[in-house]
Amino acid sequence: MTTRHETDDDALNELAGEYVLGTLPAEERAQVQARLPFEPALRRAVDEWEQRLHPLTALAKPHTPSRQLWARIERSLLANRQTPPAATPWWNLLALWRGLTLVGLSASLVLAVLLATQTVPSATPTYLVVLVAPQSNAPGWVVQANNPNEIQLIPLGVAEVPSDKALEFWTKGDGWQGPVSLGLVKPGQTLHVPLDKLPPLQDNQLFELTLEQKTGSPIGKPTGPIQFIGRAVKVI
Amino acid sequence: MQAERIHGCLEQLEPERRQCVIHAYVDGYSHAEISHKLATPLGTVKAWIKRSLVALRGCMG
Repeated sequence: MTTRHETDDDALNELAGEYVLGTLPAEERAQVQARLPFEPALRRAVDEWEQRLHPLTALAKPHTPSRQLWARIERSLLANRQTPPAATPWWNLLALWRGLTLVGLSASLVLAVLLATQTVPSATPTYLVVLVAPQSNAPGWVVQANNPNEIQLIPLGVAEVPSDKALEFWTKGDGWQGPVSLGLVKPGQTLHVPLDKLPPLQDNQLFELTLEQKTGSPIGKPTGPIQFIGRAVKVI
Repeated sequence: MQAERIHGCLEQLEPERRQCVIHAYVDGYSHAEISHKLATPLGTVKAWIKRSLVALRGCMG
C-alpha cells in the first residue's frame, strides 16, 4: 500500500529529476522554477538530483565552437564588459574597511606595546627652574627635576668665574631655616644632585648659584654675590 | 564517490534507457530528439526516462 505522502514524494522527485535532466517542456520547466523559491522540499529534491547527475557532465565531449559562434560569444562578452559596473558607494568598499581595520588594529597594537613598555609615570611632579642672572635676567642654567631621585643643573652657556672663586649651588624651600648647599658647580658642566637627603621639591622652591671661594662657602650659607637665581615651576 | 556511484548505477540500466539519460543530461536532447535518434516512440522514451530516474534514485539513494 502506498500512502498519499509517499506518492507526493515520488511525484516531486520525478519532477525534480526531469527538471535537472532537462527533459521538461518549457512551460513545466518555468513552473518548477517559479515554485523553487517557495518549496523547500522541491528545492531539496532538485539539489539531490543535481548532485546525483553532475558527475555525468564529465562525459560531455569538448566542442570547438564554429567561427560564427565564437564571434557571437566574443560580441556578447564585449557587450557585457561595456556595461558600466554600478558605482559602489564608499561605505560598501571592502578594501576601505579592510584598510581601516588594519590601521585600527596597528594603532591599538602600538598603543598596547607603548603601554606595556613605558614606565608608569611616577606621582612625583616634574619641576623646571630657569636660573637667570639677577641684573640682566639672562638665563644661564636650567634645573630639571623629572626624576624622583635627582635633579640636574644644566648649563646654557659657560659662565665666567674668576680663577680663585667657585660657583656654589643652593636651594631653599618655603619654611626652611636657610639655603642648603647642593655642591660646587664647574662652569659649563651638568651637575647631578641626588635628592635623598632633601625634602621633596616644592612649587616656588628657590635655587641659586653664588660666587664663593674655591672650596665653597666656609659657613655653609651663601656669602658671595648671587650669579644666577630662579624658582621652581611645576610642569604640567 | 558520487561519480563512481552514478556510473555504477547507470551500468545497471538497460543500454537504451542509459542512452536516454545520457542524451538528455549530457547532450541536452529533448524527448522528441531522443525518440528520433533512437527510433523509438515518444511515449516509450518518456516512460524509459521516468523509470530510469526512479531506478537511479533507488540505486544512489
